[in-house]
Amino acid sequence: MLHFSTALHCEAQGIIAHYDMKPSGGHGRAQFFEGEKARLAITGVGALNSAIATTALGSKYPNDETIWLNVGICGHLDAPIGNPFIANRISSNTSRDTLYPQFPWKSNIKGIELQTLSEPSTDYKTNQAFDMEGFGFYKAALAFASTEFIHCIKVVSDNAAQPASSHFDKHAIARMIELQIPVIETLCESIDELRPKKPSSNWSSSFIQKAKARFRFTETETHQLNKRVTQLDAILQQDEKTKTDLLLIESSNKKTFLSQLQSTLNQFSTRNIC
Amino acid sequence: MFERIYIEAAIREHPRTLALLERYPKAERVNCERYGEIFNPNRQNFRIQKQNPALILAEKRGTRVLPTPPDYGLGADRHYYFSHMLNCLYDCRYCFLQGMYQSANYILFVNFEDFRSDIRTTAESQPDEQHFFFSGYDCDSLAMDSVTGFADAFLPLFEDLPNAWLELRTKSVNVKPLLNRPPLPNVVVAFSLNPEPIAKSVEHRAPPLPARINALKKLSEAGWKVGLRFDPLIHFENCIEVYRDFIDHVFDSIPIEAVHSITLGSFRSPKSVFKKMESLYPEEPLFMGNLDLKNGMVAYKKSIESDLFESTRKRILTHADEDKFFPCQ
Repeated sequence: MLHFSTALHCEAQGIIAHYDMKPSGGHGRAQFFEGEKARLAITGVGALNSAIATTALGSKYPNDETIWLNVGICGHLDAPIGNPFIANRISSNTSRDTLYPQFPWKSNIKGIELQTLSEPSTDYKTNQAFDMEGFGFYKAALAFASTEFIHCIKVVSDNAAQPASSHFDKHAIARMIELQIPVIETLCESIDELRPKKPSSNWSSSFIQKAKARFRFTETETHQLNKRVTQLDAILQQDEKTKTDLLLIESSNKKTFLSQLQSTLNQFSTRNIC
Repeated sequence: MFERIYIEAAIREHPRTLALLERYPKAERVNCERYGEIFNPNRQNFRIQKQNPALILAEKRGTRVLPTPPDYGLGADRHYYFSHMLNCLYDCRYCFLQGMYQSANYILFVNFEDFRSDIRTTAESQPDEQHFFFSGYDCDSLAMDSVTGFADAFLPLFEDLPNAWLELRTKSVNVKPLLNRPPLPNVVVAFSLNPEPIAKSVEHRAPPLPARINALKKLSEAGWKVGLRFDPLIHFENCIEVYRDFIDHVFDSIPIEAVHSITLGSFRSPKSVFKKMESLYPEEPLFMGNLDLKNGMVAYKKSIESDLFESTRKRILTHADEDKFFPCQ
């Protein structure tokens, strides 16, 4: 699942259309949209608004396999208008912290240092992009994902030759972002490829359900059950899983049952090490 | 080799930094104040970063040469370790580094001159004592030598320090920097070795066992002292027999005169490190069974550990004298 955050509607509209998202409520002034593969928050301008809406989106849709992307416009000294960047260092004029998104893949977007400002500025600096949300978004998204899965993609909307004016050309901005959607999709594929593949078997969830129906487990025991069954799922052959199912019937109490699961792990893990 | 290089402010103009940046002109450069800003934050995934780590060039401040824990000696008067790098090119599933650090990025401390100065000061502070310096605790000493130039930078120091010993601990077969120079009597090139099935299934990206034995042979033929590090012993089906044959094979391949020391240790890990490794690799059988928690350490159940350890110890002692043998238990 992708979670997008944009400050403005014009930054969001191409993404909403591409992922076929529909309005799905909001939080304060933030508006949420949802589709089959992606969700999006229009947060309003500013790091605080971005952080609040990002937190609300993450809390409303908890999912530990989400990629978080802040997409929007930025200012840059001399990069051409429409050029995309991905932030590799994010700082803020209101915080001493600096954040370093991690990219353990070959990025298809050029990296840049992003500084999030509390006010618009035309004081462009070499090798640095300006925005007004990235830092707030990133800090908030870290509550829901690790740094490899959170990124800020910024498209240059103004530079020293064409500085930001008080009036946005919303159509131009919408078009700029829309043009970057294929780049964003490639990026998301690269990120997704990094994620360790989980075993596809349904055996573990079904077995855990059956075990919970048979015995009443404490929190600690539930943790042990989930861990041991997941581990068994990774190392047992199908016929061995069928035999393990019998432990549920044969065990007279939950302690014996959990202990039998560990004995099975002791036996089969040794075989599977090499 | 590196998509991204982070550069700490203090060493931006250091000659080793400049040389590395020149060597990797295509790598994206990111400036930072201190390496901890990148390396230490919690919300990072070691397993995912390990697929393509970045390089962080930093300055090692504070204490650079540290005493080893009490049971990790090789018979010298004093034992120390130092880490010019954090993290390793290889991806051994039992390695504590994956449970110890938040990030899999490589840190290279470029201020070698400060390490050298501290080693010299340490050795010269007690000139009548033998000092042993281990270099492969937080990294593999030689695996990234073509990037770091570690061997060429540190070996000359030991030429000049007769009461100091250096251990290069490695699985790397990149031993050219050593073969290209005369052997040093106070340097031990110590190879971490496990039977081939373990090397294949657990020591990811590390050179295969035959290549490591071949490197050991070449070094011993060239007159270098070598070390054999059978650590960690891993418990698996028929492991006692497999380890027995493996020990025989290693000693049949290398002249015993070249062997400086042999260490032996079972798989063990501090609880917190183990928990992290287990959560990173929930499907890894190594972490699933036959383990107990004792005094804050996760290790094999006593009977399993002592059977494997004792049988391997005895086999080693059929090939080598006890004075070369240093068990870690």
